[in-house]
Amino acid sequence: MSPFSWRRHARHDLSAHADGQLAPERAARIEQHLSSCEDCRAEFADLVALRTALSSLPEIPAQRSFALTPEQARGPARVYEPATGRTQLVNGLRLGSAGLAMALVAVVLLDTSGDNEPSSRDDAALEMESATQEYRASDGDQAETDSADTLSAPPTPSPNATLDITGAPTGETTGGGGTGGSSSSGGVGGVGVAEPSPNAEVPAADAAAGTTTAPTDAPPQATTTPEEALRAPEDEFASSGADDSDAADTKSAPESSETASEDADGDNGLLALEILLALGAAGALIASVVVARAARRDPSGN
Amino acid sequence: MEPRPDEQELLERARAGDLDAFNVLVEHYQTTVFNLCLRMLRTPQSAEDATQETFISAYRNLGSFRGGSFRSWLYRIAGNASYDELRRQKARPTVRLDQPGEDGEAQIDPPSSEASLDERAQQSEVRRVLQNALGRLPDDQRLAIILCDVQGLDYAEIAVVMKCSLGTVKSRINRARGKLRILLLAEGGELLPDRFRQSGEDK
Repeated sequence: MSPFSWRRHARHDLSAHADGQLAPERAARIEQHLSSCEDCRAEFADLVALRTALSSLPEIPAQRSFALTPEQARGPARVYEPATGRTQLVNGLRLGSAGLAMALVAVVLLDTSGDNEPSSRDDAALEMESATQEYRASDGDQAETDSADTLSAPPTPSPNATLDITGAPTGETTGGGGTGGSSSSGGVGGVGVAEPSPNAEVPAADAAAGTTTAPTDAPPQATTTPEEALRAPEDEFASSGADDSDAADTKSAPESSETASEDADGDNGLLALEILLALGAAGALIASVVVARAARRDPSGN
Repeated sequence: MEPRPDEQELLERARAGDLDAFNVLVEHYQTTVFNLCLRMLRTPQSAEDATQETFISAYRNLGSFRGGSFRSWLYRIAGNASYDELRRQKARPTVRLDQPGEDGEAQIDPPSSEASLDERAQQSEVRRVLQNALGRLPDDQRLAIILCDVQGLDYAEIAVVMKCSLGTVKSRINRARGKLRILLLAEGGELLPDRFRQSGEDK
């Protein structure tokens, strides 16, 4: 190994060496290198100092006892397995609604590709893209952490790895039911009104009406989930998530219907929209069934 | 810490529904769990919430604990509870983890009383800077470095807690320290004891 690459190699090991976690042979090589490389020696000294400083942070006594009261122990019946099952179903629904959102993007792109307004088309696509990204971000940040940490690719059996131990006690997942449900229902509502009408002008109005009802639909849907009613603190997250997706839907739906009405051969545009959305809905169904089945097979998620 | 209670027996009893037995375990672990959450979340209030959530989840999910180290299992739940709390905070961003905190955060690390006034000022400044720098790490790197340096776990146990490979633990800690070092150097050298203060005196 050339001195240069060995040095890069050594720097990778310095931190573990400061923790005494290297195998003896490797530690010996690092020591040898340190004796001859001033830069690494300085960096190593910093790391040791840092480690010392962190480990001498004082332990703060808790101001109260966390012993459980019988009420907390009983609490809302969060039985482990059904909760997990629901979580998996909810994830399926999320996947499905994300699929729907993608389909909408495709529709917008297809419908406007022959059109004269490239800038507004790009905006719409961007909006939808960011909406779907928000989805993933709210969907447990597995993707996020993995991209931040290229080496972390632990295979996880469950779609939401950070939650499976705690038995999905968080409103984030249960609240997702409201999110996924409301947004997909908003999307489906848009399809429903667009479908039957051969006239391009009418669906535009209908779709707009449909989307304005979607946000008002969402809160009741979210609150009907029992876990959420019982777990107030997380509701804020759930409702904000729902708001986000609704906002995305309301923006996208009029956009697509508008372009449909502008389209000279509007029938073709509508047909494409119907087909794509139907595919999206089918995808949602399949995803939720598959994921729910996977959940039943491995109910512990452990 | 008190002499270790017979964990296995307490767990058996707790699993059978003996809440008092479980609460003995709570008393035993609550300080370390609270401190883990505190270093992850910074504000005592959210740390208390996450700690309580940890023990509630642990009790209700005792059935899924399949042996091994109870502490690791508990830390994993605490890590997840902290992640959840962080996610919630990000959803309503009134608390900024990556900003220097002013109110209510400085006093989470009271300087030790036997130190001189100067030393105490220095101590609390170092701790404030450290805690701020910790807050600017990605969540998984922060958890790894807290488990390692603050809680004193070895890499193998961290891998169990974080459900990842040893290599991932090593790289998370390596990267966390690299970033912390740069952040602290940017804050002004004398904040880290050894090397920096010496070089300040030499010049």
